[in-house]
Amino acid sequence: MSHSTGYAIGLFLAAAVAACAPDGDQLLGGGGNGGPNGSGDPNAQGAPGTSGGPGDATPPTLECTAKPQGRAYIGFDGADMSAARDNENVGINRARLKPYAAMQSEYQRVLGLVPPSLAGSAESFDSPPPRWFIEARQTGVSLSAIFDISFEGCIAFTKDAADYAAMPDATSAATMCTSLMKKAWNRTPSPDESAACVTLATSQLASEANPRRRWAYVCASVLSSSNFLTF
Amino acid sequence: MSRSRDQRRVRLASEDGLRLSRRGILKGALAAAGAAAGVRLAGRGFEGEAQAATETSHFVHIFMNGGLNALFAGCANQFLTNGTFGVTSSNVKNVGGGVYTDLGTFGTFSPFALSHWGAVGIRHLNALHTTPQNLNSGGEHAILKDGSNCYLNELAHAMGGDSAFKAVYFGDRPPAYQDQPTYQGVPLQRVSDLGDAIKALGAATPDPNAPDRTLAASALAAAQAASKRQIAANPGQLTPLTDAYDTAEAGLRKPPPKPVTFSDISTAYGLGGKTAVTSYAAMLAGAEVMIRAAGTNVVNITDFGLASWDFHQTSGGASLNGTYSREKMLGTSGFGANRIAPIKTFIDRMLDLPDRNVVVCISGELVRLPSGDHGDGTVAAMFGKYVKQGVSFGVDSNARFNSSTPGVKPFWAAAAAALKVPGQPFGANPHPLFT
Repeated sequence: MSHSTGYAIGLFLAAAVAACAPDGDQLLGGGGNGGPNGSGDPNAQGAPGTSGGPGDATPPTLECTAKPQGRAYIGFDGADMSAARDNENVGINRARLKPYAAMQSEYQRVLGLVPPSLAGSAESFDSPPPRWFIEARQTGVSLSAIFDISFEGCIAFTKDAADYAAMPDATSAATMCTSLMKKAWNRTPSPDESAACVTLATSQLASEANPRRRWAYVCASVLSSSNFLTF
Repeated sequence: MSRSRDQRRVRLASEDGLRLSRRGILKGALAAAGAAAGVRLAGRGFEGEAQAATETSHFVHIFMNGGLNALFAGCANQFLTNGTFGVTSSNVKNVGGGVYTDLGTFGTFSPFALSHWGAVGIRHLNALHTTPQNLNSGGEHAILKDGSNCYLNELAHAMGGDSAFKAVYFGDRPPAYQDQPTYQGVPLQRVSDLGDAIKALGAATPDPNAPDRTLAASALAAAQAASKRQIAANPGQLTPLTDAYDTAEAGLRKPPPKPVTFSDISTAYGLGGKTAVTSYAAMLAGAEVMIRAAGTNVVNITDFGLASWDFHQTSGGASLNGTYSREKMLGTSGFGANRIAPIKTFIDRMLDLPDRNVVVCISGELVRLPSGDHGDGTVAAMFGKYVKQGVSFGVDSNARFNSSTPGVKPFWAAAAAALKVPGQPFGANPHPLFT
């Protein structure tokens, strides 16, 4: 690609982005992990709506709200080559499921250990053979398997730590849910995201009498969310 | 976006069908230890497992992608006079009721299957293959797509019931090469590991260290709630996750069925303890697992490879399709796995159960012509306890269909009739063998 071509494409993209998302923070509520408004630092934190902060705002629209200002390109057959261009807002449709090959280091990063059953679960993650590529995907069966693997890791993760010795209450659940989510998701959870976790910990798991095991369910839930399973 | 993803998912074309499939070269067996450990033998005695007061129906579509020669599907007699496709009096079997087939392959099915074999012609008028480059056309698309929907989960929806996994598929790519949309709450989901499936369905022996199923369902519901915003903002890749969460939760909340042991399944289908669905036999075994453990309505099994049954070879102008197809079915001459053996196993174990109405349909998307080329329809071999023996709109000696041969929707109407689906979800059924 020549410099002039690259420069032209750069100008076009800049114009299209501006037309799509004049204020990214308003659309996406921030978001770390190098997101459209993020700093690029996956561990960066910030206040709501700011770089690296919790993404608590649902995008008002998945599509551009203004027509991109880029030029049209007419092909040899007279057709407008930009007519079929996807109309999507900035930051939309970027998430992709992590491949199996990434999961060992991901569990290690979050839990400090790798669940033993992960080693024999390549097919659960639809892992491709060497030198082949398959876009990862999840189904009901595989998500259930992922939960089991996560639960196994979380049982070991919560086994000795003092934080998990007592039953969760509203305060400890909020603290631990946020902490786990930050660590697993590389961003601060939004209030509704953490609320789901707190409700799980404090009420929906009430029949589990073992506090460490109850925390393990909470931990496995965080690790079974799309926020952990995607990058 | 999903199209390009599916294109990436498809492995290199296997033009002659002789190459090993991508899954066939998956290295490293998923050792049976995980799934086999701790499960107990149940034997074959599941005949008495009454899941409901009434008989449940299940449809298993075994798809030979690239084309199933009509000589196998019930019309072998049409090729006898001219010896087309190598058919001779010594390699053809008169099944009865006008059904003729290849003696060494389909002709080896059980007497019960042979006496409940209805061959049904489908004239869809598309003689092309559906491929990643031809997603919106071709025979596979014609047979499986109903507008933007897919007949497979349309049928699963019409069949009703309360299975958490109403429609599933086995294979290395989705039916018709693209993720099929959820139809009225019924997704079509892939199963890639039988051990996972048995555990997810609660059909394995309870493990005291495993998560409680109800609590796990609650935890997954919380995970889904926490994922809601991200899924909404990434519909291209993550929309199927919603179905996955729903299905996983629903499966966990269901009372566990009678145990389905992987060791029993592995022995019956000769899986050698491998839970990964990387073999043809594993796909048939998976169909049994999903029917017995999940009560799945519709199972699609598509052979590995891109149009891997597309044998165009000729000799002296005569098609060798019959010979190559037979060899592939039997796993001879370098074709690897025997396909007929696990199909027979499945049929032997599942077709004549007292509490289930299992309908097995074996088809490709195209019949083969004596010239070696494709026809513009297919003949499906349908087996089921309520299927009458016979041929409904077969092909002639040139493997051509009569112009009066019904199309695709009537085929699905026939399947619905064989399954005893109430009403006529696909319109009137013109095939009297299926009532």
